[in-house]
Amino acid sequence: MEYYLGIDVGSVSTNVVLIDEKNAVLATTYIRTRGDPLTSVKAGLKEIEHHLPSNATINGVGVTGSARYLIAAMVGADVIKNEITAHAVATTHFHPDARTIIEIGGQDSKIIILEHGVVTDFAMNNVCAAGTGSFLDQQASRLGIPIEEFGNRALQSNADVRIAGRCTVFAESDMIHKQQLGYTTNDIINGLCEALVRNYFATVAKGKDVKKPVVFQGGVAANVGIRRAFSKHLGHDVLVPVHFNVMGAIGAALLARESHTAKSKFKGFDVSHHNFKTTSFTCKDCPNHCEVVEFHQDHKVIAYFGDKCGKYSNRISAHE
Amino acid sequence: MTKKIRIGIPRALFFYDYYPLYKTFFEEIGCEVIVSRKTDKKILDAGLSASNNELCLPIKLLYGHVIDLKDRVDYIFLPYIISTQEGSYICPKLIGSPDLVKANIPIKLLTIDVDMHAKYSTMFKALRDLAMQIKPNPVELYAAYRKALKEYHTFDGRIKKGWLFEDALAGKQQQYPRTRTIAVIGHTYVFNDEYISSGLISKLQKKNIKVVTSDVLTLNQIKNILGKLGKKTHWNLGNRVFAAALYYARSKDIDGIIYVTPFSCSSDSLVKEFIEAHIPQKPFMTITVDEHSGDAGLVTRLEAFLDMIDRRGSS
Repeated sequence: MEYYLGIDVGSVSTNVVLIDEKNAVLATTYIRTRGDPLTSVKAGLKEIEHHLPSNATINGVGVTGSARYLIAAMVGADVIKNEITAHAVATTHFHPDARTIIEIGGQDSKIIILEHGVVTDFAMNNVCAAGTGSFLDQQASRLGIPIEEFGNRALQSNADVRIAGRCTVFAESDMIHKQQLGYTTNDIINGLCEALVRNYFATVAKGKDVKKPVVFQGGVAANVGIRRAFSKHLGHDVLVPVHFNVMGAIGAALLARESHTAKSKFKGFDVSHHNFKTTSFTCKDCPNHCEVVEFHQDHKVIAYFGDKCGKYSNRISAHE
Repeated sequence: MTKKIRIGIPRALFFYDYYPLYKTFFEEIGCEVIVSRKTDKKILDAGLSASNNELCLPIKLLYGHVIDLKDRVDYIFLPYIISTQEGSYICPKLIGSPDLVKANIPIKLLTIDVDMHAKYSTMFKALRDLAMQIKPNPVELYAAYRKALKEYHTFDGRIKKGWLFEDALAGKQQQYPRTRTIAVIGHTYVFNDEYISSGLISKLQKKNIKVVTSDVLTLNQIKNILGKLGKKTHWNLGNRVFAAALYYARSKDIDGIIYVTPFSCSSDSLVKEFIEAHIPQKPFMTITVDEHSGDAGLVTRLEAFLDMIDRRGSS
């Protein structure tokens, strides 16, 4: 049998999925990146390897997410795609009639507008990370509640506690104020969910025509409180795909299968036994002073990143 | 022979619009013209540390370019450009930028007031009054101005024909293979600055995309386009960008529009809303550039934008 891997390395989670030639999803992993994408990818690959039938071959690997170029060099990827396209491809695979995708991840949130399965418009949050998974994570730890319980606690509330969601700093002072006024923790959590949704529509989805069916995905879609807040705001239900938290990785795998031609560049599952590390230096050959990252596999440099002129990064591709 | 007076022109703000005019004029009256280096990290860092934090990125960059020049020239030339078209004005921070710079950096400033309402005569008067101190001969000054204006019209003519800035300056248009055409709109001093725009234009060209910019419109075209709408903004540069967005949105040859705006530009924040409300049919994306060095965000957006155009086209 022929299989394809998809890897999505984001700021908060690293996801690896395995699909077969009929696009069926066979295995998924969701691992916290914890600022170390190399380790988390190794762990993800190890986990997937357990699910792999003995006679299986990997015919293609797709990577996406903010660390996609680094990880592509590490595992040997055939397709490197941005998150927007990867998410859209995965969503239209499961929900071909989807018109709007709401995707909220660790540090970014997106809206993707589709027409007949084709992306016609999209937007991502700008500089600010308010209204993303990190925002919820932070508030949950401040309240001393595990993030997994966050959604259910919100569902237990029926009160309308308004919390400023535009900025985490304001949200914090607002939250403390509401606690001092005597609102229950559940009501405050619900207020936070609604603040996040309000913030999403005020900034990311601003001016976009949100049409039904709306698919809600990304790590934050696990939160039933946020789901309810979205449905309430939109006036209708939002669809949450089965694999909502690994959609980017599924999209990358589907793209790898779609573009499959010759032999895969995949280095094999034993990449997890190799030693990878990054070092960096400041190139002083011109006044740009680029911070160049050197990517080592064992004792060999396999990639360079960050040089604006391409002096180092071209060196590697010339060898190939 | 006496030593030539060295005049420094910072590669910032209106450099990208009027450089050939000023360069030719000062050279014609016997000065040496020195331009600051292209923006790099050193210039940006110098600009950031010398300027007030509340200023917009392009003015911070101006500081950096002035610092780059100040020790190798006798004077720095920075005009007060107040208005370039009747009924609207340049942003107040830009108008006052020569004073801002002078307040923080000890320089000998040469300046003129340009409030031309589409007439160049005031520019001549201002330049003449300035240059009388260097070369007190009105006839020669007028000849120098005529020549400068001619150079400027040649340069501007190329821009209006759709040449990119560097090509228009060099007088040679490079041929780019093209698969698609993208309009890059915004301020000339943002998208023409390779460093601060993270090489947006060259990134597109590397993907075989033809780039056209918002400078192609003449003042009359801008007036006509916005006149029909019955709505224009208060700013010269905002009007140019807004008109360009409408112009390209109607053009069948344009596959998408990218609006590059510098972080903390106050007029752009309004112009952006104007544009989004008026061009629903064309793929459109705003890219905000700031002083951060990472361009991962830009690359992701750009790739997604081009994928969107490709997939739209093939469906």
